[in-house]
Order: sequence, then C-alpha cells, then structure tokens
Amino acid sequence: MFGVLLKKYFIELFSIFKRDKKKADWLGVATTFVLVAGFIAGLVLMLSAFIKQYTGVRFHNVLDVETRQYELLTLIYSVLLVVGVFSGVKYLNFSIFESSDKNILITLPIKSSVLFLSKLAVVYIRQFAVTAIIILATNLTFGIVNHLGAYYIGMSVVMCFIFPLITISISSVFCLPAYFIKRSIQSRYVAYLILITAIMGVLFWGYSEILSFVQTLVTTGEIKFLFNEKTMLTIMDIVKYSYPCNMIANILLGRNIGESIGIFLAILVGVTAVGLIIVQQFYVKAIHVRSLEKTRFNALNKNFVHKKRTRFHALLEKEFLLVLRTPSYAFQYFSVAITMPLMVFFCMDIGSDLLSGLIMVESNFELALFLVLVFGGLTNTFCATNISREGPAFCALKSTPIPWKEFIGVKVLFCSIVTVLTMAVSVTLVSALGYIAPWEAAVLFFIALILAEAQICFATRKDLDRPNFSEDDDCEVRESNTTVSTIVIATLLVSAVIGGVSLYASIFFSNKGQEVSGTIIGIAFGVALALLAVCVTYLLVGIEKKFKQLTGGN
Amino acid sequence: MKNTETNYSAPTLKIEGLSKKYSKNSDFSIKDVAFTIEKGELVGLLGPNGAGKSTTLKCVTGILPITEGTVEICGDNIEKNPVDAKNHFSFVTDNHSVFLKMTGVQYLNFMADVYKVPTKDRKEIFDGLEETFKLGKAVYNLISSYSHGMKQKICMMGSLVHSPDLWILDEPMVGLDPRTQKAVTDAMKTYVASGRTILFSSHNLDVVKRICSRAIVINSGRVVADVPAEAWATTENALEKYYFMEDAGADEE
Repeated sequence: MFGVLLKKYFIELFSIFKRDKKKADWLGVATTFVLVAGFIAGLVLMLSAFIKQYTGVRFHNVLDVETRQYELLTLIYSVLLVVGVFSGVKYLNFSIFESSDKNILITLPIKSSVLFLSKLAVVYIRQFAVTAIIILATNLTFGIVNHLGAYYIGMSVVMCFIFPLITISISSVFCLPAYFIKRSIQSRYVAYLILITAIMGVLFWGYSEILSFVQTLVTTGEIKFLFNEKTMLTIMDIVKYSYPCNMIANILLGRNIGESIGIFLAILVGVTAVGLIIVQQFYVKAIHVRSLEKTRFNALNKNFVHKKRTRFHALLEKEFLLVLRTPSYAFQYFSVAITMPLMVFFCMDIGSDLLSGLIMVESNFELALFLVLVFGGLTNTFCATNISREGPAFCALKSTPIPWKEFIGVKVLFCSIVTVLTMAVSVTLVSALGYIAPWEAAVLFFIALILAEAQICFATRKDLDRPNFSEDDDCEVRESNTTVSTIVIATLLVSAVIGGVSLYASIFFSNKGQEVSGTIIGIAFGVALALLAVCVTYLLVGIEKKFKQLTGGN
Repeated sequence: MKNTETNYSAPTLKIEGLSKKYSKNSDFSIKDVAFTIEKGELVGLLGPNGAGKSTTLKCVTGILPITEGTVEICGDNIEKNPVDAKNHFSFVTDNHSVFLKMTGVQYLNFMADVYKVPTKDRKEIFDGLEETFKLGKAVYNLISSYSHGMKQKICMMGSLVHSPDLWILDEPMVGLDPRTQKAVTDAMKTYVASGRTILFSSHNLDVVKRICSRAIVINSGRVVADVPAEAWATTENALEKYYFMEDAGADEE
C-alpha cells in the first residue's frame, strides 16, 4: 500500500508537466532560480569570510583550529536543523491537513501509519532536494577554506541523504502538537493575526541584527573582538548540548567516529519511534477534528437589517472582509503592511551608517527613497490577485448590476488605502528619527505613492487579463502565478532603477562636491508620473470589453 | 424598489438567434436559440448534461459575451444596456457562487445594497425570506461554514432581496434533500403566483413536469421543443421524446 500511495504522489507531482503549459508560472520558476542562485552565492561569500575569522579566534590565547571547526560546524548544522524542522512541520501539516486528497484517503482501508509514512516519504524527498543544495554549498565552502580532505567531502555527500532523515523524524514528533497549537491559536483569529505580525516584526529585527553583524564585518574587517571569553564559553556550552548536530560535526571531521555514529543513530531511531507512536495515536483523530471544524466569525453588527450603503461602500466592505477573514490574505497584506515601516527603519539605520562610515557620504533621502520603493512595492504585490481573489463568486457578481467602473474602482481604492497608510507611517518614522527632513518625507511620500498607484493599476489589469480563480473549497489563491511573478520582478526593477540610480547619483556627485538633490527629486517625480500615466492607460484601454469577456470562476 | 423602470409592454425575456462560441476555432455551444417568456410564466429549460442550458443562462445573464443574437429583459438589451437589464433579474448559479467570508446577514445586506433596497423595506423582505427558506440562527454564521443546502438557500435569499421581475436559476435542485427541494419549489410557485416570472434549468424531467407552466427543451445546443404544460401529456408532445433525442446538430454552421 505504501508503494501505491508513493506512486500516486509521484503521478500528481509530474502531472504539472502535462497540465496546461500556458498556466505554468515559468517566469516564477526562473525568478526563484535566480534568487536561489543569488542566495547561495551570497551565503558562500559571507560564510567563507566568517569561517576564516572564526577559526582564527584564540581562546585563552590558544589557537585551536580543530575545536573552532567543530564548534562552527555544530552551529551551522544547528541552524540547518531548526530551519529543517520548521519547514518539515509546515510541509507535513500541509500534506496531512490541507491537501485535497485528505478526504478521499481517510475513507480508504489504509492504516494511518502507512498513510503518514507515505506523506513523510514525499516530504523527505522535498527536504532532500532543498537541504542537499544548502549542505553541499556550506560544507564545500567550509572544506575548501579549511583545506579538508576527501573523507570530509565524502561524508558531506552522505550527510545530504542522512540529514533530512533526522529533520523529518523530529518534524514527525512535533507536527501534530504544532497543528493542535496552531488550531487553538487560529480559533482566536485576531490574536493569531497579532501574533503572526509580531513574529514577523521579530524576524525582521533578527534580519537587521544579521545585517548589522555584516556591517561590522565590512566596516572593520575584524570580528574577533566579538568572540570574547564570555561569548566563547556560551558557544562551548551550546555546542556541548547540541545533539545530534555536535555528533554530525564529529562525524564530518573524523573525531570519535564510532561513538558519534552510535549516538547519532540512537537519536535517529528514538525520535522516529516517538514520532510513529504519536502519529499512531493521534493522526486519524487530528484529521477528523479538522474535517469537522467550522470557523465562526461573529459579525460586529448583530442587527438583521443594516443601514443602506452605496454600492461602492458595500463592495469596499466586502473586499475588506474577504482579506481580513482569509488567514493567508490577512497575513500577506495586513501583517506585511504593518511590519513594512519596521523593515524600512532597520535597513535605514544600517544603510545610513554604512554610507557615512564607508563612503563618508550623507545620502539619507536617496537611501530612504530606495528602501520605501522596494519594501512598499513588495508589500503591494498583493494587488496582483485583485481579481483572482473573487474566486467563483466573480461569476455571480457579474450577473448583478455592478458597473465595471465600480468593481475595478473598489479594488484600486482598497489597495490604495493600505498603501497610503503604510507609506505614511514609513516616511514619518524615517523623518521622526531624524534621517530626513519633514519636507523630504513629504516629497518621498508622494513619489512612492505615485509609483504604488502605477503598480496597483498595472497589477489589476494584468490579473484581469489572466485571472487565476481558485478551485479549492475555500476559494483561496494559494499558488503563485505569472502575474504575481511579473509584478514582483517589475517592482524590483522599477525600485532598483529609480531608487538605485538616485542613490548612486547622489553618492557620485557628493564625492565631486556637487549638490544634486533637487535634480534627483525632479527626475524621480517625472519618471513616477510618466509610469503612472502609462499604467493608468494600460489599465483603462479596452477594460470594458475585457470585463465583459471575463467569464471564469464558474 | 427597483432601480430601473419596468417596461410592462415588453416581454419579460426575449431571446433571438442566440449563438455562442467559446473561441473562434471552436464549434457553437448553442446555436440560434430563440424564445420569449411573458410575465407570470414558470419556464423550465430542460436538457441532458452538456445540452447548453448553462451556456444559454450565462449568455442571458451577461456572464458570457454573446457571439450572435440578442437578449432583452423587460425591454433592456443585456449587451447594450447591461446595468438596467440586470436590475430586472436575479441569477442563482449552479455552484452557489457566494461570498464565503461573509455571514448570511452580511450577504443579504450586501445584495440589498447592490440592488439599492431602502433600509425601511429590508426588515419585511428579510423576514419574508427567512419565513420561506428557514435558515434560522445560521444566518448569523459565516457562509463558509454552511452545508450545500444552506448555501443554496442563502444564494436564493440574496437573489430575491429586490423582488426581481425575472428569477433565473441554474439547476436549483441539484444536491438538495427532499425537504429543501420542497421549500425551493414552494418558493418558486409562490413567486410566480405573485405575478412574476421564473426561468430555471434542469436535467430532471419530473421536476419540470411537476411545477412548470411551460418547458423549453434544449439538446445539443439547439431548442428542439417549446411545450406548454397542458400539451406534454400527449404522446406527440411528450417531453421524453425531445429530451432523449439524438444529436440535434448545434455544431453545424
């Protein structure tokens, strides 16, 4: 039965190549490929610099390269383990509770443990593909910098197969408890949304700390002072108890091989056994809980009859409720919009120091412009599903006397409201903290707003031309599509060109002692207005005909 | 209550030479469909699966653009004057296309806002709909938590908030239990008794025979029969004869 289920999953996996090729998001695949390649390149460069620094750290004035290698490998694998377990729990829970085959498989005469193991195998293959790339990149960088031999390289390849086993085993222990906790939190929807937003804020803070660390590395070229005696003792304590990662480091470096392999296998078998017991006990129960669950929202307005509103107002509220009450939309839009000002602030703080410290240039306005455009644009990519979000209800809506102007106008206005608020908070924050003057904040706000409006118009029309109406029960748009990828790429390009060129010009001319702020603002305004004109024209030309032709959703 | 004046001298629905192709190179899904429905009729659009019933209804309601022909609702052309034409009717789709993230009450009020129903009239209308469809306290719950039958009921309730001249339903009985089917057929009969008009599609001969005053049989994209209730009892006009007819040739141009 296990083989039958695996075959089913593989048939489904490869059916993507047989499906409508026009619908495949090749642009998204290419973008992901480029981003992953960029990430790996960045990781290798940063890691090689860091490894050189760390292995040269002296503890009590003694240089012990081998011990530093052991500590560093343990820490690297600990990070990989945490990330692997988180993603394992996420994908396992998705394949168990969210996948469309759930309701069919549960009715078939298949043991819950077999069902779970088959899902586990599929997640293992996925994890193997991802971790192999990261493990090979990090291990090879580590090996090359430290001049490690063939044994180390060979064990690194073996680790690509074994490491996902340990992350999946640990994930299987945590996936059901994590699911119950998630359900419990999700039932308190507002608290859940606040929690998710807070977690995003903390993650951004963590990211800024990493950037700050990189900044120190770049500006001083020396991080050994960070690893003082107190820090080193803490690291040693952490490494000592970081099972099984310290055992993996031992195996890779050829230290206490027999004992390390023994402990590693014991942990692997133990964790797998615990995972299977938990699954055996709770798997079917968990699926049933999910299938019987009914989410309820109590309307704030408990009256049977509400006061009459304009059609436009009613549509706007419908849009708000749709986004607010769909967890993934609320997260994608509201949480990201709320945390955007934080991200701008963190990057502004580090970027400003870098510019003044490294190049001795004050280009805060141009830097803020660049950051607000990039983060504002990325937050706003949500508008790439403006039409698709309607799902099958678009069909019903089209049979009502709602003119296309109102339908599209509401979509544009809804995105604009969130954008205005986010941009306003971001520029106010940057200005209040003294990075830019209030008049510069006002100018920045209007340039960013004009570009955001251009983006909303462009994205809405793109989605109207090729909507992706979900066929799932809850009508949520989950898959990325060509429109989303196009908007992300276009946003990054426009932000990089306007913000990046402004920043470069400011630095270039400042070094020559020339003041060009006025010219930069004028050009940025001009380009933004021209783009807005192009995008509004793109949205409106032939829109009535397109709206009339659009029949999807039913 | 309606936002568009009803032209009582015009037929409630007038379809002439209606044809639909989904793409330039495809065959016609429906070809030369033509019929007229007068005020107070309860008309069943009957046909087997894939006959072209849903395509016809989607063209009539402005969801699908028309390839050839015209559709007029109370004198308003659906293509030339869509907003006015849409004010005369309501459409209940076959897959309860409804806003799942609204509560039943929010949906009813939303539809009332769309059709510009005054606040003072809503209480009476909503109470009447509740009396007919009996959603009970579930009307305050999120629609995504509704069963199939409850979703069908809320769709119907939403479609009736403005008391349209023409009520159009696509396969309204599919998947409903006998009790809900009875509630729906009773609602349809009451609606017609109040002087308004219904057009609904069905592949179920018995339902059509039981409640309709007239049946239009569509097969392979063409209207093959238009039979009043009093005539289908005769062997010559038996609905079964047309329903089970082999290919009527919609693909021919």
